[in-house]
Amino acid sequence: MMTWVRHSTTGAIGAAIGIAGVLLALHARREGLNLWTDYITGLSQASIYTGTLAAGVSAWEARRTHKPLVARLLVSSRPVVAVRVAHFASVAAPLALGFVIGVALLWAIGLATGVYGSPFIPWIGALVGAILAASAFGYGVSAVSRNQWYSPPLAAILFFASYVILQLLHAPNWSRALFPVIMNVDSEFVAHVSTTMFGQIVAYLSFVILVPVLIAVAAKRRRGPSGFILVATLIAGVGLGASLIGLRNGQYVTGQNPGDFVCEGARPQVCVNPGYRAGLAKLVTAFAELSQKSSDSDLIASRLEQQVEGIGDSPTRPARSLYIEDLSESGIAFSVARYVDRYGGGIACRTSEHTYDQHLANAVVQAWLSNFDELGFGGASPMEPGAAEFRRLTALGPVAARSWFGNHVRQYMSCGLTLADLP
Amino acid sequence: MAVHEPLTLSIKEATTGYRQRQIFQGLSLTLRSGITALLGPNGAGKSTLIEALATPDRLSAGSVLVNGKRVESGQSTQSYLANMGYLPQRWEAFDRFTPQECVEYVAWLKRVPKVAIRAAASAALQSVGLIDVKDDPLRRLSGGMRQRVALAESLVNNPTVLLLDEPTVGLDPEQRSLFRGSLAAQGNRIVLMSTHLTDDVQELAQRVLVVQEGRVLFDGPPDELAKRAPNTATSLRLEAGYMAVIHSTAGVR
Repeated sequence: MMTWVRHSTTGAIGAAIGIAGVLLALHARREGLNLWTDYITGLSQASIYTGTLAAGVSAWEARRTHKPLVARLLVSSRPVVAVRVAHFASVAAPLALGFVIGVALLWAIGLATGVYGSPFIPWIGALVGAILAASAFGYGVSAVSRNQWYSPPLAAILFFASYVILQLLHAPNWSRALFPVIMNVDSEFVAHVSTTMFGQIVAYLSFVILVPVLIAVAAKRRRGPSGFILVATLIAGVGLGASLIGLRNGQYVTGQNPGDFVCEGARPQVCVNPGYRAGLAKLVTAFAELSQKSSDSDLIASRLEQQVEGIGDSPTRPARSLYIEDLSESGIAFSVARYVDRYGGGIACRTSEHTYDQHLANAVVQAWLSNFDELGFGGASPMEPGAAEFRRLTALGPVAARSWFGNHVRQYMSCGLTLADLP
Repeated sequence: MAVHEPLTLSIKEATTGYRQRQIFQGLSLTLRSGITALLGPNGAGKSTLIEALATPDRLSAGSVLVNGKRVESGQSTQSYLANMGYLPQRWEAFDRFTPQECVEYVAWLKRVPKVAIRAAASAALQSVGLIDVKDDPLRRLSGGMRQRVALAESLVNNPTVLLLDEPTVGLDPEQRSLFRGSLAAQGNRIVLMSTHLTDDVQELAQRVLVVQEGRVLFDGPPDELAKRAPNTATSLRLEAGYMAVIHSTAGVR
């Protein structure tokens, strides 16, 4: 088998898959953050590309070696099924190995750069299974298309197109989870649904063995019961995996806050997951500024805890939620904006009838409070509604601004401000 | 693996061919130790007969017997295949392999014990005079060398039965001479070799089978075939004898 591996095209592609995995995983890192969960997200999002590559190159390798292999299989004294499976293993193993080496490299990079957390191993297992299954897909397409010159591109295109079609059809989640492309997003604030991942591993690996076994059995002139029993067992394996996936409807993660916090600051005290520690000082500064702007109001809580989304979660009382996307300057401002939107006048604007003018005034104040000018008031022409008001508000000195907000805080919190109320 | 005791290889009441076209129907013959040449025009059924012996489980009807014992599916077929070497007419190569790797792979397929594979492959390559190029990429070898790699593949399991389908076709005279030299050393096995070349028969064979349209027209030693030549003065007596046989209507079944 090592001879096959040594001369296989899949060795180079395995290396490419490993490199692509590392690069995309590193690319998935959010600014200021170095989390294993982001690496996993990157590796997962690479799977459509690595899977397509694996399908194409496996079909290529199957086609390239088809004739000499079949000629020797005719007179092999080893069981044809075993030889076929060994051949497929030599095609697919370098691809999976390339991925695993990529993960190991990522591990080393993570260690060297102080990455937070550790990978969830069943997730990695499912990703390895997905690459093998994509390889088996290509190997099978090559056999079905009779190992023609067009078999490799056909396998790659079919793999990619099948994935796109599954998404466009909005197929049920469990059926999409059966396809060997895993595009889920990992986070520090999730619990992993390992049943789905184990289901994928069982389904993928059964499929991986099923394909070469089917090719071998189909080529036999005289088929004994053992071949059928093996095929039936492997189909049952795919079925078992699919059932496990179906059990949790293909769900990969579910919201959960481990409640593991590091905290800094006094008013408010800002608490984040240890993986986000690097942004703590900047967050404390940003929320201190918000606290200053909104003094004597209920807008700021004494303690903020990082949560899944900032909305719809449950921080420990009397703390409030804090949602962080990344630790860039705009990311920090966005966190403040999300907080203001959740706990400021935004809720009132959404939950009852208000005029356009009131919505606009609320947006201007939120942009000023959070330093996050999402709607671009600062850059807009003064003739644009809200632009002049925003500029006047931001031009106020700290004392005047705090005084103005103190006088209008009740109107703001009830979404009752109009543009005319703004300075 | 030691060469087994002298055996007989028989095909009995065999019907074989391709899809709708059955070339041999009810064919029976027995082969013994030594080189048997299989002569016949194109489409006469030479390759079909060799393939039938190489893959007994693909016979439409009839059976292959080793020492009178029928090769049936399962264990006995695997045992038969483990002791059989086959060089097909069109040898397909793993071009990226070296000769050593090609031969080692076939050794593995033939269940040569793992510890003996390397030595068996080297011995097979030595016997066909390719030990010096055993680690060169196959694609760099000449046609004659590749053909000898194919022969080494068929020899690696030290088979009792060696089936060679036109092994010298496409070789230049020097390569053919080298190839014949390699093959001549294999005479202690049951060797069945199809060929178009009466030179091969003259130099190598102890027995000749002439087939045409699914019938065995001649079965005997080369000298006997040469005697069928109408003009005994010609220097190409064997070829003339062969021509006489295939143009005669009287055949041997």
